[in-house]
Amino acid sequence: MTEAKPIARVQKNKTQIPVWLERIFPPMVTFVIFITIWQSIITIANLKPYILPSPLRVVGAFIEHRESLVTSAWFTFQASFVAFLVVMVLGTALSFLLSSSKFIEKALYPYAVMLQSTPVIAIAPIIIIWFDIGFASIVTISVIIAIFAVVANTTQGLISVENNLQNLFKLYGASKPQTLFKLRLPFALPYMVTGWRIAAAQVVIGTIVGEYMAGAGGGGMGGLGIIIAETSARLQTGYLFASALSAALLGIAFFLMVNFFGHLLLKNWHESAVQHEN
Amino acid sequence: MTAIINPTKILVRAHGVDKQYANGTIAIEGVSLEVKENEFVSLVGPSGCGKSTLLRIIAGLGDATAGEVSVDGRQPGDLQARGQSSFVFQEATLLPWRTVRQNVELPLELMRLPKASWNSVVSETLEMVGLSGFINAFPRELSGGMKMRVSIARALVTKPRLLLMDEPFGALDEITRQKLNDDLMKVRELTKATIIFVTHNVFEAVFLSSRIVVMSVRPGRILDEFKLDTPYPRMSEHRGTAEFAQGVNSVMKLLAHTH
Repeated sequence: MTEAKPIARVQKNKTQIPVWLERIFPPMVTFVIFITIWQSIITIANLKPYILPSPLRVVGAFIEHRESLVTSAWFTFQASFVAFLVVMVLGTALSFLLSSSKFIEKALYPYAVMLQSTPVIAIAPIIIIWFDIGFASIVTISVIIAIFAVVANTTQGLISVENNLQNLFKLYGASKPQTLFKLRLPFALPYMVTGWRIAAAQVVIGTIVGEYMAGAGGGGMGGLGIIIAETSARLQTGYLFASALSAALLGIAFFLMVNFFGHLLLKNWHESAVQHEN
Repeated sequence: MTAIINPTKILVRAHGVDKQYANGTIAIEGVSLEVKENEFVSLVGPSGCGKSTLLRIIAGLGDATAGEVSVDGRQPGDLQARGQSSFVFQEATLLPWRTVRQNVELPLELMRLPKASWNSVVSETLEMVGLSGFINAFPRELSGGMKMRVSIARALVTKPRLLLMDEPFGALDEITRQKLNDDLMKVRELTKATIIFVTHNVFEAVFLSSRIVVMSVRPGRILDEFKLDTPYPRMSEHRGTAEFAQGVNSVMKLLAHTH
């Protein structure tokens, strides 16, 4: 209770640098150095734009193709979002199954690992045969890539519930649903959030891979993965860079969104989300 | 629900209890123990003497391999009597996502008692253990001693007749331990609960108990008993009396034979 008192307030007035600037300054330095090196390499080695476009060319491509980039990013976002929802529901359900008995865990876990270890490039053609080119295949590929993170973490959380907490619930004759909703689920939540965070990043990667392999529709109407496939085939390197950058930004945005949601769920009680002052 | 205390009535009865674990270890052997209402019985003995095992069997958290155990004439852990006996673990075992108040409410919630009946009993219990000022705090904001108070409040909220405590103060510093011992005496006066207390701290056992049961190392057997006639309520000053020192001495001597 005592840690809530801000004793250090007096010191804050000494240094006038605002917090946001302090945070943004170091990455800005990296950015400037990075752009300088990039431009220098092009100038010194006299590289052709289709090998390595200049930073300005990438910005130019961004502006020129902004409409198709935005539409594609929106398409990719939707597919990622659907894949993420499927991963959450299916992954959590699978974890409950895995954690329900040692036998089921032993029987199923090797196959979950197997699925995770098989390269998507080998599975994708089968999925396309089944679901055809388009949204369903894209989402399926994305789900296969991202689901393991949720299953592994959620299962770990569900089987880690402290023995004496379970004893406590047993003593008061808690029903199965009571034990599930009042003990196992909240106990597993921090583990689950970790799984969601990893899956959030993977689901965007998975969707773009899915679009690359199973995307339909040209002219920027099939997600960022399609643009990446097309621009690399046509050696439109500036545009390719711009779309890769868009993919990265989308990935970060998606991750931050999930991260924020996780933070809201844990902010009151879990060490990972609590601000310490010491 | 204030039960009438009958000090001649046997509340807990264990007869010829054995416990052998699946790996072959014999934890306790031939343990017989009777605890009357309003007694404060401490089980003392070296680590691994099976005192916690015995306590868990009485709570219904583990089955005896042989022998018979009954609590108020019922099987331990009988759901008809849930809430009648409570267990305090070595760790506070609180739910970190719940506030102090919500943690204390948990047994009432799990037993599906009507919500309207919670408020007064929860406030009363929190006040009894000195937590009134912390009802909305989360466990991570509390010290070890305060967490244990929450744990005790949670055990008391169902107004149990039997309180089983498994080395509840073992992880606390000596000053906090003594304070909690003092407060446990007050709680005992107010609730009239029968208490079985596991500890390996002789001072604590002598201060709290009306009877001390000394157990031997594996396989755990009951070696001896020691009665302490000092009337309750016992205050902090009791630790300075010759009577207390004598009690400690005698129990120490008994313990020296346990190995």
